[in-house]
Amino acid sequence: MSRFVRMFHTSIGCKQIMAVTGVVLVLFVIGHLAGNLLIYAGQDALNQYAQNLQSMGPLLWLARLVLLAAFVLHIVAGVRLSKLNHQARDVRYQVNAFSQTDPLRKARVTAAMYMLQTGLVILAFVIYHLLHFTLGFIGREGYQLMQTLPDGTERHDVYGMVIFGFRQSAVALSYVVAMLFLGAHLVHGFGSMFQTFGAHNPVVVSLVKVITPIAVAFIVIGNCAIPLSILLGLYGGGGS
Amino acid sequence: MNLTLYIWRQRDRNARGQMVKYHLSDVSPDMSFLEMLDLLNQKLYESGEEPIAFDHDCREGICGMCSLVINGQPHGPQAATTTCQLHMRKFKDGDTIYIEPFRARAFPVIRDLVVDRSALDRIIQAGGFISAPTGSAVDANSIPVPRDEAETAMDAAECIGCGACVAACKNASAMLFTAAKIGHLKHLPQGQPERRRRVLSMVEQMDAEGFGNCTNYYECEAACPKEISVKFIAEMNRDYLKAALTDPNYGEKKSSSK
Repeated sequence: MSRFVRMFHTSIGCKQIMAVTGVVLVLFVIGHLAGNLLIYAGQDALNQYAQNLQSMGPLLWLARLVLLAAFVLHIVAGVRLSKLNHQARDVRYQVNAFSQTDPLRKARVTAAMYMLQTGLVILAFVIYHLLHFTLGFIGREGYQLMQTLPDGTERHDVYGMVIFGFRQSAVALSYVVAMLFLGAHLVHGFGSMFQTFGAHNPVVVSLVKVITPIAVAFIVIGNCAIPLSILLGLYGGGGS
Repeated sequence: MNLTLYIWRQRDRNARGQMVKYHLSDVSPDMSFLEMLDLLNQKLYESGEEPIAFDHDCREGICGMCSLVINGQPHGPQAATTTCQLHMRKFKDGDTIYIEPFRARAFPVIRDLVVDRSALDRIIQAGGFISAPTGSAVDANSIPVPRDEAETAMDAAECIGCGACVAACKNASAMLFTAAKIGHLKHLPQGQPERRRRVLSMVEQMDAEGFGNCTNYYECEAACPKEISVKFIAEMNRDYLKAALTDPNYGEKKSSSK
């Protein structure tokens, strides 16, 4: 344990803690999206998926614990590194210029400069999202929707809740905006993980160049599609 | 050429500095950037003003003494070039040029454009060496080194320790420098015995000096006059991870730094 404490207190070790927790969070985001896309398979599919997740009991709590730990560590390490980085240049330059000429790298640098800010927006969104769809403190009406099965038992109508939520333009648009911030965060974060773990051979570098836009596009487009298609009435039209 | 120059003037370490405006005429396009400053200093001297202090030594692009951030870019606008090898033909008549010292908390300004870069020396002292018995020299080629490894080691060893990577980095991180110093030894057989200890203590010394952290902007690589690749930072990251997880004493107590 003390080994990890010491790692946390060094620059590279702290970055590696950010990277490993980042991997956990990215995998979660991808899995979460894959599950959510079941909404397009219909009410039964999504509600069944939600019910299955809920019935996992201790396993679900274990996963939640790992996620929470990763999330907290990611934030603590990120804030620590940002603070150190800010302190490392006590007098600012009068003139700032990029030495790089590659436009893709310039874009990544811009994304990189705002990692803390985009990260904080994502944190605020996650809290809002949990209060909204997971705990039901916000948008209670939708949260209380139940689906009655043919055998008479009732279960949470996640499908109905999502449709209800995203019919409200403010809610749907806030989700879309949050996902754009997540995309900006990942444009830099995704490739950085590989560098921080030391994977920099030509094969990895060219693979990362290809995979990053695909993964980020999948996450952003997939996550934005759900609120947008519902808001625009393209999906879930008649309501449930 | 006629130029308008804004140059950082600072009396000493503790004084407050500021940008001062100078007009300089009769600049030849064939002058190097430092010769242009020499010309300005000559004129300042003749008019009884204090000349501008700046670092320089070999003026051949190999010693790593010259520095300067020129219009926001360490060593100026030309890629893979030190300030001393930058020529005024890269600029146009009537240009305005901003000249600032390398900025980092770990590089305190001593005077005007001169900064104290001894933090880099202390990082090397923390482990950027091999311990070998002296005495009679070993026969040449007695230790075989694969050609591609030798080339990679030489790529890293090209680092002249000028600190442009630190100056260019938005976080004033010295990771490209440290990675180059670790990299040129880790690719050679002589560097193997102390490899684990080297990376652990050099990284901690780098942190203790107050440098920032790499956030993978790669501005360092673009500014480096010797074009050291950021792949060495990746190698350092990997070496650090391996060493931190396997070194039997890591985590017991802090040894070298602080």
